[in-house]
Amino acid sequence: MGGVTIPLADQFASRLHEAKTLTATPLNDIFSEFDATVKVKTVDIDATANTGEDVFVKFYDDVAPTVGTTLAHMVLKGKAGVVTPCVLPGGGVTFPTNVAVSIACVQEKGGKEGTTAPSGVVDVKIFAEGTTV
Amino acid sequence: MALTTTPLGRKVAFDMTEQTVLSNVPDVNVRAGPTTLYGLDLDNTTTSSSANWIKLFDDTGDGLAAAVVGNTARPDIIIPVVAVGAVGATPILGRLQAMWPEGLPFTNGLCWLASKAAGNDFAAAPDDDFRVQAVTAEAA
Repeated sequence: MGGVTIPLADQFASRLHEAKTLTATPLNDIFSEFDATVKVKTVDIDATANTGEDVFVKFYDDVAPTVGTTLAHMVLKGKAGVVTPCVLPGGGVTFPTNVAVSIACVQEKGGKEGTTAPSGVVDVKIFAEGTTV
Repeated sequence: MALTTTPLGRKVAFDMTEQTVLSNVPDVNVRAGPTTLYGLDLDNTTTSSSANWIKLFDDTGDGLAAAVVGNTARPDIIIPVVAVGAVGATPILGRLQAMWPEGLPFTNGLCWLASKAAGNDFAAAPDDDFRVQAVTAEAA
């Protein structure tokens, strides 16, 4: 499990985060360089190798959420065995309270509860734009 | 509050379902059976003070309203839309689109509601009109 954020072009203030084998252990503040605004514009949930169950990617507006306790700001579903892309064109989804995006992937539906990691490998790519103070 | 579904045209295999005033009481099984969701247009422009969250359920709707009241309902999708003028508001203030180009199946049925809080907090309905337009596969 691990993640890497790739600068795409500084002039566009855009980043692509690739979360390899995302589990119930959160990746915290994945766009930490954005400290004024951050907007998630595209999410690609690759559950091709996770055929056992649908998965739910939880996005927290929190620098260090507790999965299973912290309310998720956004939840997107990934279908088992396929890639589920979701595009948020225009403005994208903002994370205004803490200007932080932390993510985790679990088997349980959205909301708060759920700490069961997917039974297989789930990779997630997130494209975001942001600004700094 | 008004819920309507409009065919988008004979040569387009999609329908558009609109709810002009989302509340924290769910609209259940809005396509009267399984469907595939392709896009949402969310309009929070009449709300000046608070963000709203739309919450989608893959559910037949049977018992969903009671599960919402009892806070045992769990959404499949949760998407926030900031208020007009909020910090980090979208360029088109209070508007947000979400698209699933490959389609997102709702094998039991598509239900939705909205509330003023994240996660599975359904307690407070939006203060003002919060509208959704959903593009789904054409009815069989």
